[in-house]
Amino acid sequence: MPEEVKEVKILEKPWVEKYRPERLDDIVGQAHIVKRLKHYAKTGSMPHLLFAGPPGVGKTTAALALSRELFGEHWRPNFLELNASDERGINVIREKVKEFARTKPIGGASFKIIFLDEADALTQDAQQALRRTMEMFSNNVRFILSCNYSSKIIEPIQSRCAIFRFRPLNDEDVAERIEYIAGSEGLTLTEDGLQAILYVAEGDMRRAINVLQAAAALDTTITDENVFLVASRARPEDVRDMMKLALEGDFLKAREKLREILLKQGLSGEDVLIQMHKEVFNLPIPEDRKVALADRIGEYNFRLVEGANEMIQLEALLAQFTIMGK
Amino acid sequence: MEKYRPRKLADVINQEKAKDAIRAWIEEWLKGSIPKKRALLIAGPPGTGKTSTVYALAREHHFEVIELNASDERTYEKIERYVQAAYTMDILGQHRKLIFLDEADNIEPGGAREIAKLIDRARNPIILAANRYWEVPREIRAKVQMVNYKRLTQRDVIKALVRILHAEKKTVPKELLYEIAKRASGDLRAAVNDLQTVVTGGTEDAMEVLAYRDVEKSVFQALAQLFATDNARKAKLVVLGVDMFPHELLQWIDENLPYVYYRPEDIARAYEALSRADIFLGRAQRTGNYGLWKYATDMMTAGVAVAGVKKKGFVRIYPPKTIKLLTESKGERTLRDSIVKKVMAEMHMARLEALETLNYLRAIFEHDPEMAAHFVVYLDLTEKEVEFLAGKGELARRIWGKTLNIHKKLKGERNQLKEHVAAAGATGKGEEVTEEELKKAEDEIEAVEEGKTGKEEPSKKKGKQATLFDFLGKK
Repeated sequence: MPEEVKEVKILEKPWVEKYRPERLDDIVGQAHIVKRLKHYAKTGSMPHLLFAGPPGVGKTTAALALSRELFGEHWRPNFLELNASDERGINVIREKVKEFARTKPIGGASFKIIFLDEADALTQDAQQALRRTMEMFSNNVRFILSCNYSSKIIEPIQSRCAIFRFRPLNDEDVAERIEYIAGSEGLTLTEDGLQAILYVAEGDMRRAINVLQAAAALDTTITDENVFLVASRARPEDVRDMMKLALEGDFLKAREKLREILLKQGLSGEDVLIQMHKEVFNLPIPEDRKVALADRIGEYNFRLVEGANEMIQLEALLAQFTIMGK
Repeated sequence: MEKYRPRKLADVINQEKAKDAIRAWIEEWLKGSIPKKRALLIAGPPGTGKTSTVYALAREHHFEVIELNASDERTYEKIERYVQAAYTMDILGQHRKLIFLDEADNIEPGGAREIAKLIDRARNPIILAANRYWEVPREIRAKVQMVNYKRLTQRDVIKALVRILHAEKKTVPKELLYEIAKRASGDLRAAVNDLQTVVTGGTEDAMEVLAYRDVEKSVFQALAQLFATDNARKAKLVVLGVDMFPHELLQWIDENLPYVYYRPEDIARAYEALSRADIFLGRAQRTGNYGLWKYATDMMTAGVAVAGVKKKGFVRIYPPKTIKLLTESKGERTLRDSIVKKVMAEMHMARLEALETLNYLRAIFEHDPEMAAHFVVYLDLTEKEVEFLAGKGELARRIWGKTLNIHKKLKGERNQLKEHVAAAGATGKGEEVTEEELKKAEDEIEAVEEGKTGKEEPSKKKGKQATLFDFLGKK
């Protein structure tokens, strides 16, 4: 949407945006990182940064807030957000970087910032290319790479970056923020409702706020029932159902579910494996089976990378579930 | 049949991209220089115009075609003798030679190296044709420039048939024409042959006369045989006649396997074989070593056939649902992906997070049209995208109506601002805007905001409505 529209006051923003902290000081639960980022802001210089950590703990927020504090009101033209998983191929990224780096920073800053989300989605080769790009434009561009696991980032890039490990948020941090938002929005937050939000959020602030807003769409009183209702749509229930069907030996039904998840909901094969792996320990099966199944999931994750057709590998995995369920 | 072969390259139907590459390649020869790859491989299903292309090229540029058929004349001496001509110019200088090696996917491995060497020395163009490029020996594939001819559509075939009928001043009932095109499965040569049969033999009993050419028919047969045997060798052989890429065949086998096997351990064993097959396909794809495809085929045929106890009796074979699902859900997926893109950009999210957010959006769109409308404007969603989230019908229309309202208000406010800017500008360059004017402008803007945002008119229907508005610029 056009930039100016966002600044006009008639429009309500999504709560994850509306309540995104604008200043570094307002970031929750990452004091060790904020301290160093503030130092960069104060001195007006920084190296390339690598933000590693689970989703929804403040990586993007930190990058945005840092830019605001570095560049002041001129932050927008000096900040470019790219997504590694979105821009298929490193070439697109390189072109965009080139285009962005071509012009001077605005407002007397000595560099611009490129925030590359999901940097760990890039292949090794693409990361090599990224490293060269980083070097080429290091005169007037600083990169902030964001990833879930820093180990998936190649050594040469890691060594060129200051690495920041974002901690998972604890429930108190999330609860405090949720209570604040509920208050500002005039909601009644029940204790059960809050506990339910914390349960489904698993330390992910973004998910917590999204769930809160979705539950608020149902009723101004936030109950655990409504929280679970909206969260169950998003939570990988389907993945769990699929695994249950397979464990009960109904391969055909399980396969149908899988196809629905992959083709209709649009999850990638790897997404499905991640969810399966998460859910497997919640299944009502003997403990040793959980471990055996986790091992199988790992094996087929490996095969997925080696193979050509995700569907085939996942179906083969489900077939493994049918024999292990007995 | 021969009568209607294309006379110019331009007349070859619906292979524009490949033809451009061919044209560029032959231009090199015509200019007297030698292209990087001295041989060209045209790969594609039967009846897509490979042979026609060669003869059209020859006619257009005055080449004499030396046609060799790899499957007919396999002896090395013969090939050697003919291909010698490849680098001997005609002494009279009238007709340059064009070597055409058909069925290059049937060359014996023994002769492959020799042919590869001959290609290196060639001074005249060599064109190879093959249905299955991956069965062209590797040594040769390394020496050729490859172009792919795609399977013709039913439409292409019908158009070509109609053109022939026009030229022959003959007519054939429309249904029959469509039937011929359908049965040809993109093989124009087969279609023209059938047309000839029908035209010369009369149209009364045409349906019976026509040979059944449906490609998928043979897949059905092959799979029925595959799922009836426990013999590894036989299982491999039954799919030989199927004109399909291994990864397509894999999907067919995948679809039907769980109907044939019924014990979980057998299903698991069969899928283990498919998993291995897919890994070979993946490696072939990544490394370009298509020799690996044969192991993939082994696993998906023989590997599956020996996996366990099969259901007795008649097995019905189904076409792969996945392909159908993909085609059916294409529109949906395009919409979903475009919403995901917008969520990623406007709400700073990774793809997986954006996908998750779609589910929250669905809940919001279902229960709170007002809140939904704000999302629509914020994300700049289209009407179709709103329908994707809210379902087609009353609800989507209501949300869409509300977004128009928001847009109107936004526009009103922006116009006001513009007017003030313009008014300020009109007072003259360099001149200061008077205090009074400024104050007046500010008052007006404020009046607009308060009047229209709903801040002062809370909760007509729902108590929380007032809280929906974010006066973020509380500067």
